[in-house]
Amino acid sequence: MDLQANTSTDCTVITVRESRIDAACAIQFKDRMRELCKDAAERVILDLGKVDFIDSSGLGAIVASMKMLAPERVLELANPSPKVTKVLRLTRMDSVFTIHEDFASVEPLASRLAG
Amino acid sequence: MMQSTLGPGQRLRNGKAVELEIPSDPLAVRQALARIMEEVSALAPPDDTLATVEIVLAEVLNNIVEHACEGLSDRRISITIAPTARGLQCQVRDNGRPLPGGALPAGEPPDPTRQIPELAEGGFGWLLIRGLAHDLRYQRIAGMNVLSFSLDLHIAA
Repeated sequence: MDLQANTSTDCTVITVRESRIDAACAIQFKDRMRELCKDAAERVILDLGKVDFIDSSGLGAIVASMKMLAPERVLELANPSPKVTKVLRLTRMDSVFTIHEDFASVEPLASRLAG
Repeated sequence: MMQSTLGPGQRLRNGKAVELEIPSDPLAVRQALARIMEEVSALAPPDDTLATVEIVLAEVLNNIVEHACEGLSDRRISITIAPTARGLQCQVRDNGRPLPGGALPAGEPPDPTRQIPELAEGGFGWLLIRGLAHDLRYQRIAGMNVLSFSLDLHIAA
């Protein structure tokens, strides 16, 4: 499971470099998140820009990652595809996660990434 | 498997059903979905409808792999998808365990007001299926689970 973490002073961006987070890779996703979150900052943003599709197992793995980080740290989502947005909305998880439609909306982060 | 001289993406377009038989395995499910989505894409439905088809089929197939057939060896899943006037008529059969109570699960939405430590990590599957599929019907026939449902494709006439 290709996940890459980039940590600045108060924020870790984890980029998912896969097109799917599904039942075939949900366990690997959770394991890799656990590894990367050991050294993560207080605010963790999961960049889903390359992810076309998630299923309920993939969503469960993302929720598990959020629970793993809590209560000291938060997990936010960025760049969800239309399919991912649909799954988040239908399962009402869009009210649980802070979701950034694109990185430009992640205020201090956007300038940091550009720099 | 699809036995036909019709090339990829040509079955549904030609008014013919897509039939697949796969082992109960998450990677086989992923491959089957790719193949089915190629067929459905050829009908050129709106993107949101394509998402609906992929989500419902993924959840139905994953439920079979993770629950009905979990821990059992040599289990197979048969998928038939036929074009209809409104969209697709789907039937999925497997030789795994029957659904608990012999009936479809309710698919209760998780409570998003719960505190993070108590948030559910599962139970989203039937919620998605019930929210997106129509005419959902489950039967146990001769040791097989038979789930049928229809999906609207919203293709402009």
